[in-house]
Amino acid sequence: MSAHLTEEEQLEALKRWWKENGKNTVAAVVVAVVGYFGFEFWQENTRLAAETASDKYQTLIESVVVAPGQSLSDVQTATAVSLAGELKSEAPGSFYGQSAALFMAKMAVEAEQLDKAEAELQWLLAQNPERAIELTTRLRLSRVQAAAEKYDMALATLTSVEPGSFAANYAEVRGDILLAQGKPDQARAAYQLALKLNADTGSDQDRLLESKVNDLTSASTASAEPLAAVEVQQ
Amino acid sequence: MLQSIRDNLKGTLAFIIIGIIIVPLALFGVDSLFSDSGLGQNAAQVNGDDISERDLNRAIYLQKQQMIARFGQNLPADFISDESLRQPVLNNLIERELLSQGAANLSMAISSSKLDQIILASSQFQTDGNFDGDKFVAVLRNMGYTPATYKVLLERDLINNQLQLGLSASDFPLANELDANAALSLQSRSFTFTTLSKAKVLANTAITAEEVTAFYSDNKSQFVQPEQVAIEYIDLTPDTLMAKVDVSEAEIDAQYQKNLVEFEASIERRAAHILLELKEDGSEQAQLQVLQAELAAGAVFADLAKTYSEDVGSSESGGDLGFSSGDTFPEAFEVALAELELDQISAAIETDAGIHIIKLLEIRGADAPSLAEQTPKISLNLKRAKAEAKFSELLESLAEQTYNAENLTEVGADLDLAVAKTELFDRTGGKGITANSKILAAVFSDDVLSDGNSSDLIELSDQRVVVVKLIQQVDSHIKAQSVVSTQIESQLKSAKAEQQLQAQGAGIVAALAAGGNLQELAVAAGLSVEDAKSVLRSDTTIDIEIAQQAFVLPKPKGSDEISGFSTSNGDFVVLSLSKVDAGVFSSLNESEQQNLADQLTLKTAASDYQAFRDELKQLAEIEIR
Repeated sequence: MSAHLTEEEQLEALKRWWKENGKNTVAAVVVAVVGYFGFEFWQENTRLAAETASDKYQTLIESVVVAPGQSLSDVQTATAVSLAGELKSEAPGSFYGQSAALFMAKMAVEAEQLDKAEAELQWLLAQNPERAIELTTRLRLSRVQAAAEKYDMALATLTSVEPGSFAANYAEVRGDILLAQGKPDQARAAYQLALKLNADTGSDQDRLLESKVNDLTSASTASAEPLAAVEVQQ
Repeated sequence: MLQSIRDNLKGTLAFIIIGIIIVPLALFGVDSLFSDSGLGQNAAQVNGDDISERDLNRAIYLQKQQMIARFGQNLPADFISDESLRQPVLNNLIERELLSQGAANLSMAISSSKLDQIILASSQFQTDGNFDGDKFVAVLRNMGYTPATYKVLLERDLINNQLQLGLSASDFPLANELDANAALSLQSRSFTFTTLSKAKVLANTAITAEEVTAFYSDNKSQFVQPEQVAIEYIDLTPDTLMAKVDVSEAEIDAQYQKNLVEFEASIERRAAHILLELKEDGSEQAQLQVLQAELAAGAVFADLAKTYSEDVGSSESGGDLGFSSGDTFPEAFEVALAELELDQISAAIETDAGIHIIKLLEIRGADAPSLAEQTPKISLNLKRAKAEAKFSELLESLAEQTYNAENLTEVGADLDLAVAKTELFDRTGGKGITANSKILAAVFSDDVLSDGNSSDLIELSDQRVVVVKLIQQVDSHIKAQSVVSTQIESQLKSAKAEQQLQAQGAGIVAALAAGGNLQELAVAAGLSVEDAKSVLRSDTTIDIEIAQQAFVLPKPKGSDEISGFSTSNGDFVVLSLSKVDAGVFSSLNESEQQNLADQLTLKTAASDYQAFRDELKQLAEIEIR
């Protein structure tokens, strides 16, 4: 391209270029602007939806969380169930909807409806929750299944996922299930694993877990894997 | 060069590049091109989000304030230094950031109306039970926040609360878990045991001198005495100098007079007035005469003020204007006021405001305290001032004189300062001043320890300085046998006694295993047997070590489970476990059942929530700088 075009020639070149590319340029700018505002709008809407769910959730928590030793009245339960149901259908992908299912499961357990509790927890898992939520939910699901004496299902619920930071908690529940199945030696091994994992992460001493191990100690296992018998200096 | 840029700025590519620059500039302003990510240091990065050094410093500051508020100013300085707080505070921030990110992924939010509600209801922003906007801003500024940044923070905390509550409060106990838990935690065990007392055996154990000597020569390394030193030191504080300064009566008197001058300046007078505004027609003069006539006739000043005074601010209260220390009112007013006796009423005084008739209602701070009253206080203050001056003066000469001094005693005599000496101590410190870490560091520095110099001035606080010098040094050595023979003897005795107990105890255990009876065996050995029936884990009537051992033993099958073990005080216990009974949940009353359920749920929920947070941390990419 020559470096010495006159102004008119430059204008001419610009016009020509505009003729060729004008439509595309305008289209690109329009797409960018619409995209930007669309994104803003979408974000605003998402936030609004989250806030609405949050307010409802706050009401749910306030109605469902009572002081230790007290239980919900029938009216409170009805309110909580209806709020939780709304949250589940309106915000299934958010913590609010998912936690609502956790509360539904709790209320079902309190009403001794283990099948219903199991269904709530299964629903939550079907929402493809964040991993930490999934791990929490699976642990609870497994405990509910064990309570319903569906031991194999309970074990499968635990083993179908890599437990990560929940390894000790999973091992302890596995021990509970194995013990209920009448397999004390395997249960003891699971409890010991839980103890070891706890010790590795520097968790507080868990006396209940220790007594679970000790209680399954027989003369043979005692000599094989002695557990610190007497804690001398407290 | 510009020409070539211009030349190259033609064509499609140039348009595209310019377009890329222009569009964000037009839509978002210049900021978008220079985001602040390059400015300021970052303390850590969590999944790509920064925790700035500024945020960290602010959090450290707040943490420090909280600790001081809770534990008072006496906290050791190391405890609340920036260095020692940095790590834990940063960990907290990271943890919080992780939870917020987790919450964001979980589509959580708090509406701004909810945030406003909470701020309005928060007592720290209230005055007399009502929200106070100024206080709100002031409190925030104190913490280094603006209302906007504070709201972001508040929202984060609320979301974290929702998260924690949503996970913890939704946990539940299951009936089978309660049964299993009760079976274990309320398990009871029945056993008998006998204790072979070490104290008794010790009394009959003898150690010969040969045994002591043999042990000493075989285990010399146990008896190393680390290097020890003794120091002399001068401990200088203004307090110790107070006794050495004198204050003459003349000085006290001079100070007293000085105080008197200041004192007079603090006299305050309470005035009341009646104000007549100047009128264009001069009608105020007639009114003034009426007023003065009424005053002369003995009318009450306050009543007249209510009737006549045109100062609406004071007329209702009888003209009372409150106290003035001489500079509140116009000069003419103040001069007239100062000349009045108590309850006297002035003549008419004219100021810009109009004509005043003034009454002196009260004088406060008029009576100066007497010299005798003030002497102790003045004397103490003067002494302290002199002592502090002397302290500063001495700092210099002390540093100078000790620098090359043979010993501190001479310096002390020269400067009239007390010199103290310590006993021997090692690097771990001794009593009193030698327990101080700054002193220890100075004493065991090369300068003092190897070169034998006096230390620099060691500042223990603004008002306390110490200089130390070595006076004795004892190298690390093995203690003589004579020094440690008692210790060796008791050590050997103890070992021998325990050996003997273990042998005896093992004999009893073996006899029991062979079918013997604990009661008979114990009696034969001159021991008594204790019977513990249905002991719970929580039982405190049985020695805790013995109870714990009873609870870790395997359950007896057919015959008793036998165990022999040493306790921490050296006694040997032979224990025979006969029965284990599981606890029964349904045997508890309703409130006990509820308690157990609550406890179990709390424990499970806490441990699950901890795992939840650990998992967030596990998955995160955390970078600490």
